[in-house]
Amino acid sequence: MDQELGYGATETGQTQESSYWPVILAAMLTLTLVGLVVHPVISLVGAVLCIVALIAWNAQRFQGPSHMERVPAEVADLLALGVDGGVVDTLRESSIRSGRWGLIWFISSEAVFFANLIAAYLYLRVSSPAWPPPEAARLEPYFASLNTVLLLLSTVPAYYAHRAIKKGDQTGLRLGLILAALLGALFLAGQGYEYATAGLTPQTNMFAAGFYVLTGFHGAHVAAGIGLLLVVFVLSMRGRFSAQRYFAVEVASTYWHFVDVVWVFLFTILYVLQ
Amino acid sequence: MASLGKAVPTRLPMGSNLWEWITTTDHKRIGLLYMVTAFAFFLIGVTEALLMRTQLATARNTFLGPEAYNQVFTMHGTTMVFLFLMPILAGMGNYLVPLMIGARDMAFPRLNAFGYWLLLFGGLFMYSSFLFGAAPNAGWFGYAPLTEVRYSPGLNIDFWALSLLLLGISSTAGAINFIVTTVGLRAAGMTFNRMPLFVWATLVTSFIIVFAMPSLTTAAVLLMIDRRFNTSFYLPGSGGDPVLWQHLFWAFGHPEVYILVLPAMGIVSEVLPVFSRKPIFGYPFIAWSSVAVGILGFTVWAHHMFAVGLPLVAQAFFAGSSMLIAVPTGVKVFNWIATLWGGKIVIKPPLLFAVGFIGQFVIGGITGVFVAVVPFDWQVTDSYFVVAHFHYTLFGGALFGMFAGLYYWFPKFTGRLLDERLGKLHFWLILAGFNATFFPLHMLGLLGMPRRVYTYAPGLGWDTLNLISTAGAFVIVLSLVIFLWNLFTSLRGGVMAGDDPWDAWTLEWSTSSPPPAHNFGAAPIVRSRRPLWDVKHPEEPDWGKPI
Repeated sequence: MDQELGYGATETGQTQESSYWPVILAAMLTLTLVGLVVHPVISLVGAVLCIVALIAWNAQRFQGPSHMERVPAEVADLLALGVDGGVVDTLRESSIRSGRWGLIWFISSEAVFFANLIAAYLYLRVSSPAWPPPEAARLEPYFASLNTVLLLLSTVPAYYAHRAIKKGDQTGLRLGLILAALLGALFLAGQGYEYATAGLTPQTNMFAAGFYVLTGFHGAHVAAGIGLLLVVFVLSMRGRFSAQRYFAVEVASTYWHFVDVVWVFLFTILYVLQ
Repeated sequence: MASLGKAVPTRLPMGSNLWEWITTTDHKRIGLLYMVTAFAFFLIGVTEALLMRTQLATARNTFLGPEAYNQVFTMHGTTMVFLFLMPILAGMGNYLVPLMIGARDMAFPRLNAFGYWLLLFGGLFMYSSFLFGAAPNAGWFGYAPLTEVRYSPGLNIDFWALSLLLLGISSTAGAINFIVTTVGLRAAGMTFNRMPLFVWATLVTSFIIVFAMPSLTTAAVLLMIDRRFNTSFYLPGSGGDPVLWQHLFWAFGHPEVYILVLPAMGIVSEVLPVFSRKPIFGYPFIAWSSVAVGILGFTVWAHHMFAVGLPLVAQAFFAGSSMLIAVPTGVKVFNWIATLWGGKIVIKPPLLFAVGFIGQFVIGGITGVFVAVVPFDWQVTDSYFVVAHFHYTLFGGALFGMFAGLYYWFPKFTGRLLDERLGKLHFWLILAGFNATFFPLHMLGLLGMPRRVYTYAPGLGWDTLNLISTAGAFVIVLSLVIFLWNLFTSLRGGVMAGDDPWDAWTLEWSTSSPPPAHNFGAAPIVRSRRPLWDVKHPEEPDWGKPI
């Protein structure tokens, strides 16, 4: 390899990594939606297989592209690049940085989705003559406040788990994860109780429809967050994390904080400003 | 010291087996898959357009009935936007962005493959509706309450809304990948200020997708809940509001226009300097006008809704913002003209299509300012004037830009050049055919011909113009047949291109054609906006000059 042409000669006979999980996950996701026009059982099967595919995807030992090593600072100085390229960066650091940004933009798009749902709800509320429609039952804020406290409390162990593993504290990590998942599950149970006792169905009126859509999508996200926490918990029991290696913990805990923040908005809009 | 990676040439990836393609995570292969799939959907969309134009050739024609016509125009719009223009530009981005920034692959190779497969399955799902005799039939914007169960009891709308959800996930996954790749994996020295303008355009487009797509998702999700759970989000009289659908749809739909056009503008910004033999004029203005378009694109959606009776203040605001967005676009046009000005222009197919883009996009842009004027919009809304307007931006604009890119990068993708003579013939025929098809539609719109209606009465002064338009459509098809022939013959026996057939300046031309699996032999180092110029002209490199 001609060293003069660039920095860092690289391997030539490199083989490309391949994976069949992307095509399988895409097929299962499609199946889930196909079920909605054919039969709900197909959707259910599809959804379960989606989860299986997701787990298998993450379990695959996938090296990913060996991204070019970035230029060490000394070399960058030598070439008088005067640029931002001068960071020593290992493969893993680079892929974690990518993962972190990927997570941030994924959560951003989710946040915009909730913002759209909320905007739609507020639009219907503003353009309606009386709100909530007078004839129907109103929501009781006391029980929901208690439930809210549970969910908000759960961010503490999620945060604690993340902090613990940064220091290499395995027990703290496991404790934090399982506590956060438990509080989340309690919240979901409370939400189920609320659905059973509110005396509203999605068809009652526009307020009820909005209530079920907003809390329903949020609840689905909470469930996904609990699943994520539990998967990370199982991995932590197998000793997969260390003070140097904890990206999955970071993902689960960041996602969990996001789910909590969304609830603060929903609680305010649905209960406080009812 | 020269500072660019030189790669080892490899054979074309075409001969490899199917399983390798299904499980591939290589951005170049995924890019090719995107492009081939999108092009197949393009041919279907063209067929649908041809069916429509045949039906409209004469008054009271009985070639297509009203129900078939509704399905055909709905699928034409949906296909061209979601299954052709978006994925083919995403495919080009997939192939080129890592090469242009000197990276080895996208940041998330498996997510990249996932996005492609979801596109394919989403498209097949949508088209499987024809097997059930239930193709979507409420227009590509699916206005409520027509799409509610009460008025559309069949499965048509379910196919439409559900596949849009899949396509939304696909493009969001792709967009996140583009953002992370562009921000995180640039080669040493590839600062934002040195990034190729196509990469800039793809980056801005990706941000638009991340922030606009959730509006479509919300719209489709609420529609499905209405249809399945008997709620009434879009039904007036039960507390719902059909205008809510329009707000949600167009809050996505107008940014979508820029999702389709910005990458094409990026292609034009790559092609023009190379074929004018001088650097792009006003690089920062082109880059930042893309950002301005991206941001302003979120503030104009309600100009699609002037006819629904918005409050006066809202109408004034959206009219103003819609006129304002013409400014950054105008900035680009002047910079492109200045790039051509005084250049040693090489008239090859990529340049022809890029110049065609400018001329026709300007026409579409000007009629865009027309329809931003509220009273004028009231006059022409839902008429063929609007159809003419947006075809000048999306066909005359995005599609011509796409062709410019295809002629420009085809040698990089395949190692062979497309035939130049056939390319020029393709250009002149499609230019003539396009204008013959769509220019008369301006007049038809002003004469009051409504869009989305399967036939019209004779004697309204519409007959001749419709016949011209239909004739033009057949000229377009002829030009596409020539293009396909060119594609087919050039793939087998085209002139070998070599690494750098156009004497270009961006990193993708520094590696072999097609590039090896790992793209570059050594990590490139970039010191200016034209890294390859620096290598070719060490006596007067760009980085030695004041910008």
